[in-house]
Amino acid sequence: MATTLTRSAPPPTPPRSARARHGGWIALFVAPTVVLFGLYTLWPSLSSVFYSMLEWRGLGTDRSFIGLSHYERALADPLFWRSVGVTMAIIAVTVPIRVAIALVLAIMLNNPRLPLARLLRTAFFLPVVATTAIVGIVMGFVLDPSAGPVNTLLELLGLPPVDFLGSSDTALGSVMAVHIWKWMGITMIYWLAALQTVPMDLYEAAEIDGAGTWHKFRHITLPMLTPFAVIITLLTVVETMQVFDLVLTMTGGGPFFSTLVTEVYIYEQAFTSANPNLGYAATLGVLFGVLTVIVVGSLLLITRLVRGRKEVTA
Amino acid sequence: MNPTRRTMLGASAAALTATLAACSRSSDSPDTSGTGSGTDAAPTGTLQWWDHFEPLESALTGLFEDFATAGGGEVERTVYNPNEMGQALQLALGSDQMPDVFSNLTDIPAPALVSRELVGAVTLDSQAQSAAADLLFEGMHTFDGAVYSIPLFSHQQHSSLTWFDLDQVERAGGDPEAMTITWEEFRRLARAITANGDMPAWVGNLAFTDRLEEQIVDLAQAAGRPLAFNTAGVSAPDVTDPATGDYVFNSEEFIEALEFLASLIADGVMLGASTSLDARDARARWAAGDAAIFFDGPWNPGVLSGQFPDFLPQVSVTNLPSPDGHGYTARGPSSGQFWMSATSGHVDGVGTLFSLLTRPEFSTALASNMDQPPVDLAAVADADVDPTYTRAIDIFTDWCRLAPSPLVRNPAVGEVIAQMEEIRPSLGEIVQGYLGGNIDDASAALTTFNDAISAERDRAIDAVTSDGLEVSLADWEFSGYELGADYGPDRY
Repeated sequence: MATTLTRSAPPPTPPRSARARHGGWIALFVAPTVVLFGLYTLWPSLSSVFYSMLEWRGLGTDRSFIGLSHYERALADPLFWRSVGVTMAIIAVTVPIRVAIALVLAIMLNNPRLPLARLLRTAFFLPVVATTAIVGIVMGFVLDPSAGPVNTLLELLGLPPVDFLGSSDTALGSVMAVHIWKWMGITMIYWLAALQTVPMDLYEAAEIDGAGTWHKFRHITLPMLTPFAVIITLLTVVETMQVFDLVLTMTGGGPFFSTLVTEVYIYEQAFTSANPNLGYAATLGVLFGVLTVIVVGSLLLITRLVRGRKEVTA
Repeated sequence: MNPTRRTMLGASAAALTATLAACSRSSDSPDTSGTGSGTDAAPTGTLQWWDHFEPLESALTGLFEDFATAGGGEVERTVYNPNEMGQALQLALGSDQMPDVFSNLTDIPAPALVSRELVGAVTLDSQAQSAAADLLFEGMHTFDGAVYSIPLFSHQQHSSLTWFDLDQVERAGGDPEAMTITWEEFRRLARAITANGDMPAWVGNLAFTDRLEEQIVDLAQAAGRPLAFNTAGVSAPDVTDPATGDYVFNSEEFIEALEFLASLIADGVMLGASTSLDARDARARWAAGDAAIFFDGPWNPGVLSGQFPDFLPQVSVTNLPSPDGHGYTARGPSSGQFWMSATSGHVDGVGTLFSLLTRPEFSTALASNMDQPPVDLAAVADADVDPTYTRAIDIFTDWCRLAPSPLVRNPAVGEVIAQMEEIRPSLGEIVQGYLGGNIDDASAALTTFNDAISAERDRAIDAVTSDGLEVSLADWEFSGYELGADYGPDRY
């Protein structure tokens, strides 16, 4: 039987008036996003750059333009760099742990034969919806060295008490652990969503070919999830840079600066310093924004380089 | 009728318009709130009063009722957490929504408040003028003779009184009737209490660096270091050596005071959780029976009576520990607590309210709150207060004095302080770092801090003098002052 290939006719072009009306609707629906983005993202960003060049205590209208002086001061400010170091340490430790453990949890919870899967999903996601400030305060009691349940347990085991939040040796690790627990659920949800995109027939075919659990994971799940891994890691990095509320309520940046993340330092400069300086705080905010862009950009660049090398070797 | 997409869009647009209208600044609309945004407007609406003195609720409520009864109008009081007060004022100033009256937690010294035209002068009635005559210092409460603020609280106070659980101290062989205690007696008592096994002896507030700063300054004075203070508050830039005008945070007395606190940790008498407690939490742990002794201010029985009334009868107090048990402390003149915003539209009303603040009845009401002692300590005798509060006031009467104030001598000192950037780690942070094991050499850390804050003051003096104000290091020198004596207005 002969087969005739025919090219489908292009869709008819709508008349100009219809296109204009259509464009108007698009503009109308896009407008709220544009307005809100402009008001709450673009404008604050631009005004922060402006404020960063002012000597402004935040009290009254007493402002003076000082150019880049605050930037010079920030670059030579040891506490700012210390706070950047603490922030980077939190990212370097918590992001890989969060992403990896969340992936394991997601794979386990994605198994349709797992009993109580929905209940477990809810349980792991519950900390995400808990108010961070409340979590921080409650964790202060939980980790209390004198009467907290964790130390009571350690005592029962014959171990010495640990001053989790009061010692600079353990405070940062404690904050990291709570941060991982608090936000693990959202990373798990990202992975669960990604897992839904893997076609089940691939697994079925692999099973017919005799593939075991590990081989299915190694040769189907991982390659299919790789594109998602990049975006999930980036989202987790950006979320981790925003640990302000947890740190403020758990340790306030102490003891002795051991948990002083950049956001808390910016807040201190703006509001709680003995001599508040909104102009300098804005400078630190701008630099932190630049740092965020650099971190995220570097991750994207590394990912592309790795991908490019893989394609070349393939 | 089912709403169509068109009607939904229309309704949404109307709602958005209404919301935006509601969110517009109040100053755009006729001022009926009385927030003072309209400077020339006749006083209308409610007088807005912001402060951070939560325990003054009953005293101020009575004052406002008297004011309303006399036809002064309504006063709407907003009480802020002290941590949030400065931030609220920052935002209010930036958005032209200052209250008529506020308590100054902006860290701007009084002269700078006036020179920057953030506050306005008030007119006291004749009775108030005579009552306040001996309390007002030029450069602190009055400027060019005009009254801007009234001191409510006495300078005879500090936040390092030794509050203790009577039973525990008696069981450990301590003397609960003693009004003073030496460092050695304190350490011996603390070790005995801890050895009894019920609880560690002492709970600190190591997470509250501002309070640590106050306490180390008080302990250094108790060790014999005379100091000048700009006001009755303690903040490192305000605390200098009266003989030379220098900062002396690396002096022997400060190091000894720090070592005394460190010895409590070395002795194993501190509640472990102290490292992550602020004053409020530390007090709660103390009242809950987790420790026997707690350093706190005279407001302690006031807080206990409200939050832990069952514990209050078990409590007593002695002065802060000192090397020889005779620890004098001093503070500068008490600054005014309330200020009238320069934009207030209720100038007459605020003048009347400030006049009422000087009445003996208000001092008695103030004492009844068991918070900071009133400027007239004798008023405590007429107030219905817990015996421990009376005892604390007796200790202050005997051991707290009036220090010289560079700010009173030359109001331009206030501009210098306002110009100074904060030195980090601060004095309180160094105390925290040393007690927490993050700083090994306290003397070196204090010397570094002392050098840095001295250099910062020199820079600020240069900046202020280049703006045309006359101020020099000589303004900080008060030869002839001795700790234990009062430096009254007649000595300036």
